[in-house]
Amino acid sequence: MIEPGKPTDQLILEMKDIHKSFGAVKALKGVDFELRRGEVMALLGENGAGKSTLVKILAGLQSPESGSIKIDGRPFSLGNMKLSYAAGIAVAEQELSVIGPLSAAENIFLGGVPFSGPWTRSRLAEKARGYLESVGLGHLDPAIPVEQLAVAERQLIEIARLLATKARILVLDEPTAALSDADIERVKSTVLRLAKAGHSIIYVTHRLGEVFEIADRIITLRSGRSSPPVNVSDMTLEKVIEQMIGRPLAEMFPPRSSGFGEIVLEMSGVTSPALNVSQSLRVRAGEIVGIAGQVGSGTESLLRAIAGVDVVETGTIHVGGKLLPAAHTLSSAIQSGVAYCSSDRKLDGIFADLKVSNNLVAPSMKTVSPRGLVSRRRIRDVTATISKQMAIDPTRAEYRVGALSGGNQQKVALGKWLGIQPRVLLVSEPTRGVDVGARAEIYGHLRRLADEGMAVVFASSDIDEVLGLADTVIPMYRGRQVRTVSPTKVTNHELVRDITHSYDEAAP
Amino acid sequence: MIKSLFHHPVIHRVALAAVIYLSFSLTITNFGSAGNAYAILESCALIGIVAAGLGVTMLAGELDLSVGSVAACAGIIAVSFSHYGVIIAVVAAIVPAVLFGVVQGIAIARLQISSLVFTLGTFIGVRGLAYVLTNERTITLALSDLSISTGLRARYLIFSPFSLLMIATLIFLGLVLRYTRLGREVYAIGGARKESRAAGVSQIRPLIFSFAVSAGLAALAGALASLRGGSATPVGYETLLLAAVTAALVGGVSVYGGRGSMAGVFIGVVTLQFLLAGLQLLGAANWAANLTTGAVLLIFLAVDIANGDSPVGIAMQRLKVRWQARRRGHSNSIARL
Amino acid sequence: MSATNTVSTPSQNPKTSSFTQFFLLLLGLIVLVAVGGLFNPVFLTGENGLAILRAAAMSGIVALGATFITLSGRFFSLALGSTVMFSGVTLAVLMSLGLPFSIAVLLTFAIATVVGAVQGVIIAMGANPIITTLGASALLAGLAGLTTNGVNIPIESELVAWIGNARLIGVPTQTWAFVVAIGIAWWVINKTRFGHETVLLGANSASTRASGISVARVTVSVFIIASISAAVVGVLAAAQFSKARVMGFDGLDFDVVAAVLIGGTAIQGGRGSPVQSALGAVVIATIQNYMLLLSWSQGVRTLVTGAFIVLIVVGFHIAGRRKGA
Repeated sequence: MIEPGKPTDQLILEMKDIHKSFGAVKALKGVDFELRRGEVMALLGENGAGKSTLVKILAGLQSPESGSIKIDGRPFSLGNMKLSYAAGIAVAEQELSVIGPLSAAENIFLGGVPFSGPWTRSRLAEKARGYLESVGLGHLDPAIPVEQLAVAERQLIEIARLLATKARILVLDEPTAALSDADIERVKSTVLRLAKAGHSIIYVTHRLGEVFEIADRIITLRSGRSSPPVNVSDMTLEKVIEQMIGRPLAEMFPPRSSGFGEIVLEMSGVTSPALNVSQSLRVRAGEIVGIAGQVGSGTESLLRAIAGVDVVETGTIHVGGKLLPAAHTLSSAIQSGVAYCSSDRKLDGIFADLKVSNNLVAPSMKTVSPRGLVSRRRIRDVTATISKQMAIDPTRAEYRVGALSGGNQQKVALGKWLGIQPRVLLVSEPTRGVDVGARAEIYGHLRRLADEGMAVVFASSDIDEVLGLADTVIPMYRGRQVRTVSPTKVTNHELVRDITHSYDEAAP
Repeated sequence: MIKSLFHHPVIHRVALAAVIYLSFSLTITNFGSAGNAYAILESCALIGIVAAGLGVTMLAGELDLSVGSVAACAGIIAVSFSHYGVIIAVVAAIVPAVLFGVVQGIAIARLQISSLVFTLGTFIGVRGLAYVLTNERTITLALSDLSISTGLRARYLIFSPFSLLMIATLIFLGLVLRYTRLGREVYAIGGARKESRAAGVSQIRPLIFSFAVSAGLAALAGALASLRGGSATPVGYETLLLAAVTAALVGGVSVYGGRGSMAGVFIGVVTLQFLLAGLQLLGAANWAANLTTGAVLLIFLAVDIANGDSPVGIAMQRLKVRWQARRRGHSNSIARL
Repeated sequence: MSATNTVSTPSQNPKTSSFTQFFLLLLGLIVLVAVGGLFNPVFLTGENGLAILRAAAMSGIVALGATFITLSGRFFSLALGSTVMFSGVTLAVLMSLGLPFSIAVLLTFAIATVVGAVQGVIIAMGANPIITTLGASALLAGLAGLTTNGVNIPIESELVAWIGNARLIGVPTQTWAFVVAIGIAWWVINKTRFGHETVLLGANSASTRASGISVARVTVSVFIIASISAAVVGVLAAAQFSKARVMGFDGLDFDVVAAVLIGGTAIQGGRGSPVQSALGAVVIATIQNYMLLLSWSQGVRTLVTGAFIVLIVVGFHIAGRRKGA
């Protein structure tokens, strides 16, 4: 029953001591979670803290290894989508799952939601209208194909679909991650309205400012463990950030270096289809530049423009003093000594089904095959050299990369570029999906590469990582570089503010 | 409303068909006659029905390569059962085909195997079955049943029972695809396979439906065509796959799934047949049909690519920027703000 | 969405298993031959063995080239049968114009290269390989019909007749060609940069592009290779009967795909090798030969081949999934 009004003290969802591992990696180490009826509970935590795993368990895409779950006080088990549906849980994942060519009404009803009778336009529209109104889209024509709608409206349709399942627990995973300010307002007001109408909502977000506007309570995950729930009214932004970070940072990062060489990478006035604001950047040999920003803030687009993955429309880029051709391609960037690792190594960073040695020589095929003939000796040499440099166990050279741990996979994804001896190394999210132990190792490798003369630029949504590793920090917000600053002269809190723009007043 | 009608892809294709028809009617005597219209529609019937079924699998993002073999088997069964009358003969051919299609759909859905690979195997296997059923001979209608054949050739204005059936099939299937949940699921898994799975749309149901329809319609068409022709042979319908795929592509059904309609399939079949009929009347030899079909297929394939995302688009973008940069001044372009 | 870590248990067999697959298939073949021989001693004679190899050679040589297409992740080509036919016609026409065999053969290969390249370019631009090659197949059939008007073209040349029917050390030329082709294909895949790039492309096209390798170049190349291997068979087939036939190669595409799939090359690419496909062709030829010895009709033989393909493909697929891909 959905009862409008203030949140009660009754728990609609209670999870205790939830454990979940993936192979050797423990994602959740005894997490406690709860949700009261009619409240908005914010779920916070950095990348890799376990938020994603918890959401997947709620959605029924993963099952917990141990722990107890209660719905409305009665024991319940979760582990597949049917169970989640029976529990009254509906999840809107981070990646939108609206189906483009279909209409808004069809998207609301197509995912297993009961809909009896003929599937005519008028009946669909009639039944959809109520849900569209609840999410603030009452003015929309239910027959409009969803691909013609703006991203914010698609996000709202996704929420409408959740409502149509008559779910009592709504889980929204980063609903505003890819939205601009105005759009965020619409989504936020919808969430508030739904809460007032009596829905119980779990709100997962990186944008800490939103938490204070929408949520009633907060639970923070950190390295697979949870903090007890706290009232938003008892918290300040500083305290929230403290809860999220709180772990020994000292041992994670190698000492910074002081001497830098000449300018290796210089970009000026660059725009691309994804970057409307012109970008400039200067990186010296031996320097590590950390670009901090949330997903969609332009950090990865910046790297992609330099790498030639995105088309550079205006501006110039010089590598080692030489100008890159206009609208340069990925190949010409590589030839000029620019290496780029995207944030998704599974997608295009590694060859999961092939051996480590095949992976490591992929960008250097020309070098290991003089006159077109592959030289096994050269492959062995390159593999051995890189393995030594990146501390990859040489006995693993014949292993399928897909069978390695996240940390080792990332070392392969990064290490393969050493074969072309790049002058510039661009990495997006250098430690995504890598556990804490291996992270320190990767930071060490990046520092060493820089010390040997490379210019390293990395993009990350992890503020600690940026502050700990980089020599120069550049926070970005919505495609704009907020400032360029030394990590010793800025605090973590200030950076978080920079990338989430949660200032009290508009900053200059 | 008029403007959106203008941009509707089907309208473009109707225009193309009309242009082809007009050009031929102006250059060939009797092309525009009712008799010729009857002949063309008649030749459309077989391909049209098969293309409708094949089109459904394409809409779902798959492809059923076995349609030709299924049609051959259906023709054989129908002619063998012709003794019992048209209805029974056709039903006897369709029922096993639909069952076969259901099994194919289940296998492809459950195993999550590529339909290309799976239907390749069944393509060969079912063709073998055709040989086995007839002991490698051609079978013909008994003299006493010849009335079936003539009956199927009856003419009502420019239509025959066969072509009327094709039109009815297309309309019915079009309605199902548009106005039932099952139909919309087909479009969903075809156009957005990942998203539809994440949204909780059943994958198995529309897949079974698509392959059952594909096999069933191939059987219907094969059965009727063989009865009309009076004979069935295990080597029949070998070019059916090519013709049906071409018709679907010309009609706007995308190979990538999720786009297209039965109306489009109709236009595609008709356009193709206009072309082939015209060429034949102009006195072109047999191989011209092959040449034309192949060429048309490749052209419309190119159109299909251009409408989707492809590396071509990005390459074009790069060229555009380079050209603009060259126009604006020299390689040392000025930094802009 | 943060990525979940992949399983990191090194105890899971991490080494690529194409070697084991090859051996299993070879073992299966040996068992088949042994069992078959038990019931039908004719099966084990040298003459029969040579017949099998000769039959395997035609589809086998094409399968060697087609494997490159599959390895690169472009599924398969349905135009190879037509290319075989078209190449035979080209050779016959060129020779009937008076050109000596050597020049005619070179020109035939050149034309086959163009045919393959055109398909490769269209597919590199993003087109579906099955449908593109389906169209190309029809186009080639039409062009051949245009040139020959449906009539088989005779080739009057002793050299050609010799090539088609000679036996060196008792082994027919086609089989020699098969053996040589296997060697060449093995060498290209394992020893050349291009061969390695083909496997990379099939394993992950996005990573290949990200590593700076030209996906378009590799795609066009694999279709050229397949086309040339079809041209070789076209020349051999025409030589065998001293005439270029316009019909008779319809089933070849499917025999070729069957050989590739049964040989164990994964349909999505990145795993397998041409040598495996050659073995697959031999396995199919063996099974079909045995069925012929048992006097099974063509229908039954085709049925069994089709069923066999489905079983093997499904089997590999399930086995691949169980390994936890």
